[in-house]
Amino acid sequence: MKKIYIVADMPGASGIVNADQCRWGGFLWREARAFLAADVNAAIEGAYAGGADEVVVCDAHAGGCNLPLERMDPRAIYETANREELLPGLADDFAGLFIVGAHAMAGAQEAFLCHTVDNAVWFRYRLAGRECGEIGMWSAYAGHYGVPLLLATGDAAACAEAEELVPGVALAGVKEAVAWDRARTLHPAEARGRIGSACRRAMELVGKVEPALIDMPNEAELEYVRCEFADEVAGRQGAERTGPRTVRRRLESALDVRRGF
Amino acid sequence: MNVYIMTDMEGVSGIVRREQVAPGSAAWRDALRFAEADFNAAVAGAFAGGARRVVLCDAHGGGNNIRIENMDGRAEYERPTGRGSVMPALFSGKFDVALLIGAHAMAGTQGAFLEHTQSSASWHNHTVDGKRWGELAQFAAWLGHFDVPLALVTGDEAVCREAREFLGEVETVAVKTALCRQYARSLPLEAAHKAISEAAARAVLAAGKVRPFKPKLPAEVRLEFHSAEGADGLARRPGVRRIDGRTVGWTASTALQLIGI
Ligand SMILES: [Zn+2]
Ligand SMILES: [Zn+2]
Repeated sequence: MKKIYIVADMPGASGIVNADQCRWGGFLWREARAFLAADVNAAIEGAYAGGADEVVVCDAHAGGCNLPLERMDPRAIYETANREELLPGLADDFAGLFIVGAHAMAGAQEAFLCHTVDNAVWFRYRLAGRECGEIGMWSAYAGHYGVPLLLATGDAAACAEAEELVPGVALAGVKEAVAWDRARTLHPAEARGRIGSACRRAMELVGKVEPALIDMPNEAELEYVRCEFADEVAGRQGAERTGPRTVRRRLESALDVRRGF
Repeated sequence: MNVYIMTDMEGVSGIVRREQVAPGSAAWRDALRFAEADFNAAVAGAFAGGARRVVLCDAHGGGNNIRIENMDGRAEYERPTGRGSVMPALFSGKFDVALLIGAHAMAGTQGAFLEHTQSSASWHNHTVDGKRWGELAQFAAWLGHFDVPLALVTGDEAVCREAREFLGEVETVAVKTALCRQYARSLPLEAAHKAISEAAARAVLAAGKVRPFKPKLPAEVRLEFHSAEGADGLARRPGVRRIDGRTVGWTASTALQLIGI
């Protein structure tokens, strides 16, 4: 029984070349959902073609509701994330984690819409002392259940970040940043082909890739863009102010990566 | 004796929450008279200290915060005219001393009311030869370029500390204390106005004893933004280098280039 968990983010979907296309509820976003749907459907198809028995998709961008379900592959199950439970349906019987539509961490170079969680609030996040973005947070969270990151799709910078985290991970680069808010993309049809074959490669990695494991207890530290956010969080239990804009929290497990920030 | 008065709004007495400095908001409209009163107190003090000519620059948010009919009729009033002309009268007139009224501390100062440097939405750190600068040092260096010493700074306690750190022999008036970034506790208005007026008179009387702030030139400037988006905008200007994803840098050969290029 091979179960695959797919996280779908939006900035790294093929066909999306400017920031407005990812602005939830906007006019351009409405159209861009079709690009995201096509990439995710290609990943679902690739997972099944590579031997998956069950696929769960988490619609993770901006609180969810980006995937037009009527256009989505009916074989998969769909869910959304919430603030602290990053991948709600993930459990230890999954064989692998796929990230589709990924973007690089805040502060990355030549990275389309790079950010970590919230571009207007989070400046720099460190997990267990190491600078980390959403790809790293998701793979650490999945690591708690012993589930390894097997695939990432997105721009070149997101792919490089995933490769650094998990050498040998299956990758499909579908675009390159021209500026922070502009990208140059493959045609979505070409991107779908590359995503499909990367997913079939990823299925061959099942059982061969180690999950991301972090020694526990450990620490996560977040530098905010302004003091007001640290003011707010620093008063809460378990939070330690380590700088004017920085708060550190203790992690009991990797499920806490996002908790309390 | 010609006196130049630079103003901002965050450090005005009676202004104790963020909404009061958001141009156009109802709270801002009400807070304008607090700003006018602090500024009038400084103008009156300057004349009491022996000023012959006083020019006041209404600089918060680019200007438009004071209603001229409420202002001391003996002074002249101006506002920044855009990039390259933060304090327009300096280019044509000769000034002996400057006062900075209503100032705030630099971005990343803990316990400082509305700390920021230029843009709270995009500037993370501005450094000159490795030292972090805020608007206080920027204004002082700008004035120094025209050989005008900054002799008085009023605002919250944090900016007064910052002023002493950069300028040493400067007169300061702390009219409030930050409770956190977004809230402050102010002196009673009358006490604040009296303190500002008296300090302005002392500063003008002692003008000859204060030296203009003149940082070593050429200097290496770094501007780190919250997001790569900000760096993208500057990176294409001639003389500007991309240092990392969100940071640009340049070499300033005049004090005016320490702030922008
Ligand atoms: Zn994301
Ligand atoms: Zn201001």
